[in-house]
Amino acid sequence: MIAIKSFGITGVNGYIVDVEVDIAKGLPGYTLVGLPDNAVKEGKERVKSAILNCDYKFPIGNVIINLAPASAKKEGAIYDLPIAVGILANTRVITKSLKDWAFLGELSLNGELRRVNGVLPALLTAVEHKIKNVIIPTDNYNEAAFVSGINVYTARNLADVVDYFAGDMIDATPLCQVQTANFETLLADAVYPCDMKYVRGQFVAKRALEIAAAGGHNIILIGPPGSGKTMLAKCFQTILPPMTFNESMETTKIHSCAGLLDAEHGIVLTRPFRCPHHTASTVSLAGGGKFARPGEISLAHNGVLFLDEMPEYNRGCLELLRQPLENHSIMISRAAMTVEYPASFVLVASMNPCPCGYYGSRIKRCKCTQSKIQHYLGKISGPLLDRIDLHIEVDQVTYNDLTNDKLAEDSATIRKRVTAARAIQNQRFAETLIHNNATMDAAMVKKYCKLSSEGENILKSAFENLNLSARAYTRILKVARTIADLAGSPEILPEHLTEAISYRSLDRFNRGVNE
Amino acid sequence: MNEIQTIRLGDSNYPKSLLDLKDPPKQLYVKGNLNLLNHPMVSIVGTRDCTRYGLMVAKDLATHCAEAGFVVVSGLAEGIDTAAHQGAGEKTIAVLGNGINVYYPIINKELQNKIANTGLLISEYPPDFHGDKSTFPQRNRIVAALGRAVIAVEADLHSGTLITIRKAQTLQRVVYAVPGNINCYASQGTNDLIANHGAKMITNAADLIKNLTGHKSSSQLQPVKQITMDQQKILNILKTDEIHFDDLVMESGLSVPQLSTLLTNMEMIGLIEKLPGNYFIAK
Repeated sequence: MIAIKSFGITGVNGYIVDVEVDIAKGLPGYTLVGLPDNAVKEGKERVKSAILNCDYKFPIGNVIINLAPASAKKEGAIYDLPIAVGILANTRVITKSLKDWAFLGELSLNGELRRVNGVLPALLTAVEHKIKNVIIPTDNYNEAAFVSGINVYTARNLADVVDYFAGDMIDATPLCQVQTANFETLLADAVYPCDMKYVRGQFVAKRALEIAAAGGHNIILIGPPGSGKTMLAKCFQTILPPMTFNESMETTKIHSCAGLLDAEHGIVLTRPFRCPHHTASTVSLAGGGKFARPGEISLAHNGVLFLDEMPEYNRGCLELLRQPLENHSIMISRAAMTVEYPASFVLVASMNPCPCGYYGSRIKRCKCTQSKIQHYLGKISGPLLDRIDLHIEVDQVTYNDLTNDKLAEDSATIRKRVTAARAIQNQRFAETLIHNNATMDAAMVKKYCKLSSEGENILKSAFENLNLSARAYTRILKVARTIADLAGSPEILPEHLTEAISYRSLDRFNRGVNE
Repeated sequence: MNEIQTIRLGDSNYPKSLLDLKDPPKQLYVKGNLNLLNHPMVSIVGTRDCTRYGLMVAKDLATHCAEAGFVVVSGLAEGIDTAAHQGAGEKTIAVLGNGINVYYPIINKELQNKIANTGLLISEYPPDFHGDKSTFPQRNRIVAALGRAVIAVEADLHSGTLITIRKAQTLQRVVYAVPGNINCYASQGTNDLIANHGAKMITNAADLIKNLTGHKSSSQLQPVKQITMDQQKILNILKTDEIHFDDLVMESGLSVPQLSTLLTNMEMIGLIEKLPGNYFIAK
């Protein structure tokens, strides 16, 4: 019996799978056990063809393959290579010890190795379990370039692997050893598809997005169709601080499991921007399904989740966001398993101010009655709205703004200010589990958002004169803290507070004639 | 809570002004402060599909009329009617096209209750009667007849408000109309009233009160508030029109944080008002 090491994935974390191959005497047979899914099961036919097409002998006997631990469901085609190696070791084609080696890869019928998903979490598991060498398909090269403390080799086909073990194993010619890449240099080359400098006008929205980026605050943009809400949201990812190595690894793990990784970079360098359509199901947002997959909120981990036309999403979808917005992760529980996916994202939402879209606009006349408007706004529940710190109204830009030749500030300049504000917060929260102002709990708000007596008076007068709802209170304090951080001020000054107050329009939105 | 009472045609407290009608209501169901019927009344009417300008003017005129001793009559519909009732405070009469126990429109439930307590509800229909297509235009004749003057705040060219106005003119009531932007649908009807149908134009609340009472408005000028240079600059820009935040940035030359702070402060001391869509207007 020969045991070969490979990997399995639950959620976004890997575990070691032992691929045991035994050839018993008796009638020829070929069995695969160990809770394989269909892709794994069909692998045994691929393996047989690949072995024969590479001119090796397929053993005559009762071939039994076991994937241990037997209780965990094995998914995907990554076991083709370890099974093939196990069979060839049993037939003495490979004679060297495979104790320090692990394998993963899908085989084609002629023995070529194909790209697989989940390589990064698998390699991290290998490091954790002190496995020295891993062989992966060539096409997964880039994904392996950021794992240190392990020798990773890529192989083009099954013959390369066999040749390597048949030789002296010092000359690695048949294989290619993966060189570690420099994260910083790659990061510097990261390209975003858009830039804030192309957004004309919209001064207040841009300022609010800057604050949202600096403090990690959730934000909702309210405005008529065509007012540029979507473009603003798309540019939001460009002003977020650059990803740190750890953030990038976390996000890459998730994208690797979902099979969304860009083969060219092999790592996620730009903060993800996910915009699921409003017909999205709860499972596609939260994750889960028969074969657990990360949902949109996890794919947006360390980035932006954009919900365009928020009231159009079905109620269940919106409500499920509440827990991840608090905990920054989501627990998917099914009868068969429980997996946890990280989901720490900034929520950017957009909505029209009323069903027809033109309430408050000067471009077109609104056709909605007050009760219709209230009903529309009511689609977003209070508890969810509670988790959105900034409410910004946008309107279509005027002709003057559009023809203004002066380009606006570019994303890089804004990003610099945002990064500086984040640095202040990192220092402030160095000994806690949180990283930004938006996630402060009640005690921290009390500690870090102290107001002068003048500030207290302003807030009091704002509540009395501006019809603010009580739930706005902590939101305003947190946003004011971020505005102060952007200004580099250790204290929250009155002007920071008044600016924060001005970004709470939804609290005051229902006024209309019912004031 | 006040009880519903009935007033029959011929009773001593039956409003005299309704006798001008060809078909005065045989009986009125009323709820609230009956004393209001003894005061001089002004009717304020307008479209449900109104603009912010209309709401502001309706409310403002109603407040001034109430201060000058008039009771403001309107129809409790959405839009201008609602603003007029709100502006008049307690001195207001709502004439319903349905029974007094029926809340319509439902969004005005609170307002209807408030008027039943401190103002007066009037209906010619039994308390539990649900209005229909014909009863709302019918109540307009009561609105038209009750006021010694009728003010049209906003109406487009096909608005039901114009029915009330025509009725008022046949009853020899003085008709006033609020002029508006000639490109705005909601002012086309009222502008037309001024231009072609003999309505008097309202230029400001004080003139209206002078016209109605024969003497100057007693309401005091608001005390002058201390304002800063920057605030004055904003007020100068807002003098002509409601302006969007972005345009204020361009015109004032202030940065976005500065302007946000300034505007919020000005709003809190009541110099300006923030409108939906991030527009600002001087108060």
